[in-house]
Amino acid sequence: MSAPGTVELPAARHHFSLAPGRPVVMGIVNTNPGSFSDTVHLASLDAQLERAMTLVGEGAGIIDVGTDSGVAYGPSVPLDEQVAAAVPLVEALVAEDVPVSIDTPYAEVARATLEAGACMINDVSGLADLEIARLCAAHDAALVILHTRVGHKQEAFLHFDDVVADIEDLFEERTAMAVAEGLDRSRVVLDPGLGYSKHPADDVALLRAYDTFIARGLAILTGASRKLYSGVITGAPPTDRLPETLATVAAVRRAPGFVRVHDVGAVRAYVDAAVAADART
Amino acid sequence: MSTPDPASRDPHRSRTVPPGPTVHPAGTAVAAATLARDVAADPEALGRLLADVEPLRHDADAVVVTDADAEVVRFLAVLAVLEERAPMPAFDPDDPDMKWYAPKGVEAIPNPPTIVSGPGAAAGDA
Repeated sequence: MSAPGTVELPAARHHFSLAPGRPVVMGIVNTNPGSFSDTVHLASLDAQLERAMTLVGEGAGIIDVGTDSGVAYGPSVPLDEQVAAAVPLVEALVAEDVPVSIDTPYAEVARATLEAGACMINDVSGLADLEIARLCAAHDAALVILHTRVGHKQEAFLHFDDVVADIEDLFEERTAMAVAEGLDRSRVVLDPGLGYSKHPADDVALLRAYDTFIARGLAILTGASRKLYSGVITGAPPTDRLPETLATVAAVRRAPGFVRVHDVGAVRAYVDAAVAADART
Repeated sequence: MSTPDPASRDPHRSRTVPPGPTVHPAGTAVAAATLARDVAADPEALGRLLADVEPLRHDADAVVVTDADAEVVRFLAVLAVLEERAPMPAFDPDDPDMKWYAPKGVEAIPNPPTIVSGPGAAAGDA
């Protein structure tokens, strides 16, 4: 029997039973350089696959493959290069029965990687292109709807009168749009978009409001890794924010869903120990 | 705009985040430690340690002794802000002390992404 509050998420040939307090750890492998917190660029397919399998060994329950960093350090990687880099990695991971998510706002990348066996599209544009929803529906895949109010590869500290209300509005609107395109609501995953177009104080506000998002009854994805807001609190630089990442995970652990992190082993160890502590109390 | 004092947000200079446990470096002589454990720079051991520290975060009588004292304080500092027990520090993106935040020179678009649909919609238009 599932624990109370468990969310069932079908995702192509995978199925996640997402219990509160036990988030699935999502590991990150980027096929192209640019992420603000990547310390090593994995240039070859072999290196990317080795990294992904290492993360699985450390406890990742799904691998999020990034094909074009969302930060604005450089121009976008051409779409054909994104596809060419991602598809072989997806195929190799699928052959190992590893669930694969694709971090992309591009329908062309989503189409190719879903055909290669990806089970989830992590649409970091907030569903700017409805073709993404149609593709997920056609492949019975899960779709992550992320809250942002700027376009891909654009950074901003926008002013929100009420950031939580804005997130709720976007979740309501974009979920309805995805369903209208044929996607079953149960396949929608919501990401409040920590650090996306938000001032660090807005990130704190949204983290304090997680129960509001949980009440929607859908899976929640939190990009918890090395976030700016936490660096503002402690002064730590992006590549040295493991305690900050773990604090973010602590704050969202009650949400049934996923935590997307670079430090998979440490986060898995934290979650397992916290679950064990829950059982003792 | 004010320029934040780097020391004011450096938890290494403060061993407590009130109200919460007192955190000491390894080797500190204390009468009784609530939790004493070294992690020897092992990330997974740090994860387990912080999971055990978390339930102590409201306990001003708790004493933690560890070689990861700075990391414990940083963890507690973030939780204290999220739980409204400590104020969120001011943030100025132009603050030169925020060396790790490099402005990218990209203009914000104060509108939602454009919704595009239909077979003619080009990927990446938004």
